[in-house]
Amino acid sequence: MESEPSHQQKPAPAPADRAPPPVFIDSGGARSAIAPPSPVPVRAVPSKGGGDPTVAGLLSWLIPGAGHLYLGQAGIGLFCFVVIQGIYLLGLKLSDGMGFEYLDLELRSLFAPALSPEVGNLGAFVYQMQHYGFGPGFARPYPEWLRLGATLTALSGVLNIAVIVHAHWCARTSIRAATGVPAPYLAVLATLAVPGLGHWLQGRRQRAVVVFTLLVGLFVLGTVLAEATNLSRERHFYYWSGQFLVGLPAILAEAMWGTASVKRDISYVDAGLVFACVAGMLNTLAMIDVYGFSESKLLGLPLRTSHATAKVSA
Amino acid sequence: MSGMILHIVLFMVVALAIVGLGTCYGDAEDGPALRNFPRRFLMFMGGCALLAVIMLVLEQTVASVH
Repeated sequence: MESEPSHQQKPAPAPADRAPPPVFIDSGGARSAIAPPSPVPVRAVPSKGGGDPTVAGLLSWLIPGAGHLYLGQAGIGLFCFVVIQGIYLLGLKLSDGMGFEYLDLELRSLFAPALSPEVGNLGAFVYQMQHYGFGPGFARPYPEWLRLGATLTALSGVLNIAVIVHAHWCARTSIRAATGVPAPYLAVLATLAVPGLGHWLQGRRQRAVVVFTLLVGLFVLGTVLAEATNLSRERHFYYWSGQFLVGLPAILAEAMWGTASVKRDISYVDAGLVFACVAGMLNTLAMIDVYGFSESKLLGLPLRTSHATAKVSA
Repeated sequence: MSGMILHIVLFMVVALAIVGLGTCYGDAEDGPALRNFPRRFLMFMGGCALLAVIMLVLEQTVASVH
């Protein structure tokens, strides 16, 4: 099927100084016209953010806020550190560090917990493994708030993804947002919270509805098929880690039906687990999508199209 | 037989989400993404059907336990 020619096939775009200048907002809140956004694809040179993006991202991964300190943004760095580590610490206290004791004995290994959301906050994750690990090696009673505590440590790891993205973006450019286009880290955070919300903020309303319907629908269907047993991290440690990326819908569902008991054989529990987990994993694709869209709009890069990809591979 | 149909329906549901998100990721603009969706979905289902046939053939021949 022949598709319509995209803007990549059109003659070379006009120079940036001839296009109507959009308003960009830099880190200081000042308005400036730096580069025209898509659909006119002009590869603009972004203004420097003041550091190596990879270093800033890695530092934030190790210690939330460290990337911002490296970039000289001490205030934001301190805020991120207090919030992200505070959530993790609260989770550790509530769970008494027993979050990884959910893992069955045969699943306990050095790298097994690395498949949990906590790994998004690497420093705190290593601290937990060093100080608590898998416990004393024998079964013991779980503390009353273990479920909430384990959810908070996982939440800390997932939220730190947005902090990493923010530090990385700040190192790349001083552009923070433009009219109608949220910054990439904000779009990613919104998608982490609710699938499709990032697209909605970007003005891509149809896509937002499609993404929300597909992902939340798949998660709900999986939960129904598994009769809510998928909402227990204790029962299904790894599937739970995947579905946690659905965001608030998963957290709310767990809060409401997370203690469902198993009284009989559940015919489609496996399908339900896979569905809910796949919904969360696919939300990472949605996060990359919103990041790429905001990035293209703010930096004046061409939008991603399958047509352009086919042209390149040809 | 009804169990098999249900399995196929469930597979199509999860395939819908996988291909839908893949299409969203592949095309940043809604128009091309929507136009490409049916072709991508059919290709995905066709590929999976082919894989299933190959697995069944292998199961009946070289990997047969009978």
